[in-house]
Amino acid sequence: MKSHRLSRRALLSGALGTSIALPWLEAMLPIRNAHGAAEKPPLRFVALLTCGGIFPERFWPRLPGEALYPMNLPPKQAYLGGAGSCNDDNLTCATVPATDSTDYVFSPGLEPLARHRKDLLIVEGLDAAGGPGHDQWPSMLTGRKGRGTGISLDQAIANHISGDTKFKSLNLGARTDNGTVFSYYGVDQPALQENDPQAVFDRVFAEVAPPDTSAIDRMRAERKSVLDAALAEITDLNQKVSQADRVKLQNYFDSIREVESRLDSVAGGLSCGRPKIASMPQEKWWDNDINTPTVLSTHLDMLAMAFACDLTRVATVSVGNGNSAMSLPWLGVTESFHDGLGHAMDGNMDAQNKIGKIDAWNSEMLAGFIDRLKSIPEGDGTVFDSTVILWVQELTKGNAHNTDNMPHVLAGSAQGYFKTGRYLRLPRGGKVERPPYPFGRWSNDLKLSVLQSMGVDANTFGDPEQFTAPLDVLRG
Amino acid sequence: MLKSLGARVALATALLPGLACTAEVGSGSGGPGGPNGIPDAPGVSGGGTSAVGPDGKPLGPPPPTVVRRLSRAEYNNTVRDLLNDATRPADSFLVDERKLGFDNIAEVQTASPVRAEQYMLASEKLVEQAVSSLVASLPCAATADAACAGQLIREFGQKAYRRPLSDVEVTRLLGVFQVGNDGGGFQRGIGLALRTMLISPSFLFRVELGEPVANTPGLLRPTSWEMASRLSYLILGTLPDAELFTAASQNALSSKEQVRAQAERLMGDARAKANITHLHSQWFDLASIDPVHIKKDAALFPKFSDELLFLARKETETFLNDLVWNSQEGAKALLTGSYSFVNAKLAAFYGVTGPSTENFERVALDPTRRSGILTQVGILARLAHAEQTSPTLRGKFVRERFLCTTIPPPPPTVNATLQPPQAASTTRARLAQHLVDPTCAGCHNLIDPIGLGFEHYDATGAWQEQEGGQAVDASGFVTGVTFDAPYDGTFNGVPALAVQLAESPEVQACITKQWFRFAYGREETPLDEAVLSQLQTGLEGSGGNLRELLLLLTQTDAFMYRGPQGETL
Repeated sequence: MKSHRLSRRALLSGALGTSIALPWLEAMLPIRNAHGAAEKPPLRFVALLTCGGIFPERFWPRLPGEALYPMNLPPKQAYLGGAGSCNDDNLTCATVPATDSTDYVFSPGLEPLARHRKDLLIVEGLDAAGGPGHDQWPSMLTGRKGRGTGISLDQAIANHISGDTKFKSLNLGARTDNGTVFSYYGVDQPALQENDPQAVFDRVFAEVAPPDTSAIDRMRAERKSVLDAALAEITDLNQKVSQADRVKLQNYFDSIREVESRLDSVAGGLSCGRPKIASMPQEKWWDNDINTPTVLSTHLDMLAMAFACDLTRVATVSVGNGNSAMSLPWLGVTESFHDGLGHAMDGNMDAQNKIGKIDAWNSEMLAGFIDRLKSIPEGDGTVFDSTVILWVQELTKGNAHNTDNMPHVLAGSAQGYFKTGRYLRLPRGGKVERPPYPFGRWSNDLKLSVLQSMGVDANTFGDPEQFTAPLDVLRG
Repeated sequence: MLKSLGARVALATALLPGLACTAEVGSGSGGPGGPNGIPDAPGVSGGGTSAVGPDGKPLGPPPPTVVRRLSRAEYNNTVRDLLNDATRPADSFLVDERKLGFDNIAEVQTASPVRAEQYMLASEKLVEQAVSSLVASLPCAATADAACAGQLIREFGQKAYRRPLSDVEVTRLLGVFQVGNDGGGFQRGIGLALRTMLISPSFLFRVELGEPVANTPGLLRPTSWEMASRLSYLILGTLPDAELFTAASQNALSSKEQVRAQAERLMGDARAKANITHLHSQWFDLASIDPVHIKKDAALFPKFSDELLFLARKETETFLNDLVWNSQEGAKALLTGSYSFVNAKLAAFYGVTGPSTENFERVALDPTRRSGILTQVGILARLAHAEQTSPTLRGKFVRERFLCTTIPPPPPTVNATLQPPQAASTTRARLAQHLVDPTCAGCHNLIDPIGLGFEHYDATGAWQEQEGGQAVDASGFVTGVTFDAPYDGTFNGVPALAVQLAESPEVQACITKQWFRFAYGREETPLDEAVLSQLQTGLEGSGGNLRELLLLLTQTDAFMYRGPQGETL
């Protein structure tokens, strides 16, 4: 039984129950005995995935003395940190020297994160080559070209740190259309995201009540017999079916085994009270643009709670995909994300300003999630102290569909592994070979560093052609 | 029927060297093919040597297939008919993986811990609702012993697994029953056994073991039980009904005649309509005709509304259903029917005299303006942007859905920006960049010239004579497709395009392929050429009767047999 996280003081004071703002979710009140508060809390990882590109000039921070990019001035193609631009035709980039700033100035796109400044690593100068064009999202976490061509970062981490938590990972999304997958257990093994908060709630917190151990013990025993019998049936069938069928059935067998192996992991459930969720009367309410903020905040609330209860340690949270018709009416963005904004000309200032608004909204979503994690006491600090959040964007600029100088923001130090509070411009530029990357460093370099921060003993990640070395500058 | 090959002319199809769009264009196979005439063994003659098809290529047995998982729709239907439970639990499952637009392609279906857990939780809820009435209905409920449990397990199991259970399976399920019975009594035990069955691979997957075919070593055919499931899931999207189960138990599903007779009977079942609507929904992506996926600029298009989208989806569904169930030439009228099904609001939007109520009725449309599914409001609005049309989306739709062409996504580093609409400018003019930029032209030459023929329909699907103050130019052409004279692929406006497409063997071949994919849960392979040819010939021979196509899908070697299985796959 895991009992090492939430300090007794915090639990008794009910801080957890009252400090999380939950529009649809009423937080649970943990009742566990925290008799091992000195134990080191587990590491956790979240990938936040947003799509469609940014307004770079109004996204990246400025160094002291650099002016903020003015309002209503169109972006420039392949802009980089105000210092230079790349020319795709002769494959040269103006050289950008390495910059490591602690007194940087936020641009509007990231401004909402300013309250967490000391916990951030904003990294400019990372390239990726997933693609093509409309097909970037499958590469965002795998660091490989094509769909389902390798394990994704979150699952590589989960393999190492999920321990005996009830859920190896939670993969949550809002308005991610059919076919969009970010997380992969391995080649051609998609971990589809769940979009319906009610369904997530039912699955994740189903057992977080009642605190009647005999009932839970019986439930576990019954499930075990049911699952064992199903496993035996598959084993029998596998003697008879073709090799191709056996692969499919074995895949199902392994999935049941995974569920079974975590049956006993209701430790969180025994010690966290059951939260409540408001039932939503509309069918598929979560697939409606108007409700996207509610869907996401509910997902993030549930995730914070699942972390606090140690139901899982790894998650992805994704918003849309760059090709979707999703709109953001609460921001006044009523046109479709892809058609209306993703293909808008640089000179279309209405569209550009809306992209800037979306950037800021995404930042606020992340900032709010950090607030939540920081509000949950754990050990001598908070749940946030053991968490790393990686925010990745699908594209650099939507209309150019390009993936050089991709936005990457890290939040959280992984218990001091990363030296946060910095804005890094990685050295970049000069003449490059086709394929035209990297002008700077590879996104996979950062991904490996994140993997290592989680204690994984690895020395490469993703496509070998898109990897150089771990991004050690993140450590200071 | 096919016209003589000699009369065909083809437009030049050359793509720029080195920039060739790698799209795979449908084979256009349209020659007289069909079964090789051997009644009981596909593609295998008595001595085991391969038979030869009309084109000189050897006809073989069907290609190896892979076990199919119930799609979400099939799961919902199956628990509805098995447990009388209409709660559609699979709606909250992870979405089905898709290929070629379809949600039932076995090759791409995967399990995952999340999915397995969803099956488990759903089974618990389903059983909780159903178990007491199931137990109450047992004649042996009074004794409530293991023998009684065994009886229920055998009876229920035969429906759930769509075949009789083996003794080993019954014994195993009785073991699970015993765990529940010991801990919480008879009903609890029954509940556990039911839960096991609902997460069993024999319930969730359509496992086929097959049986040998006489005199043809290596060839298998589905058992009668498996054939009952093939028929039922193909036509109704759910488990077999009592009559099919009876036929299976009597081994009365082994000849093509027996299968055809059952298929004809099932086509009279109301559930067939919903199942074929599901086919259409995927083929034409009808589910995305809704306000979530389609948004229009309210200032530019004041007549358009969210409500109209729901009506438009219903219009297209009704039209397509009518083609299948009432028309004698559905495969042609799909493209050329100058009629539709509208209610008062839609009639007003189309500008036709029609019903004065909310009820949908068939109305004739102006044949110079409206022609089949391609000119229906829901499809046209879906294939357009908020402020302007999209010849690219519309042309791509024709290519993918009617010519079975796979269009690759734009290459990386392309600036896919189109200029915004401006006064005194047309979409055609703005799109010209696609065709002059060699990076784009390879693919867009396949797409845009078709889509530009749709320019009489604005972003909402309404008819327009002018755009940007200029008269609409709706001329276009289709490359890479063989047409029979007098057609040559050039056209002005969609009705003129549609009539050429409807007569094109490649389009008929594609329509056949779409049904094939849905029916067999897989993409066609070169080994399926004879079957596709047989289907297409049959469809054309019937004048385009889609009911005949559905029946024919139960009469092919691919349906009647199983490809060689084994370790070598």
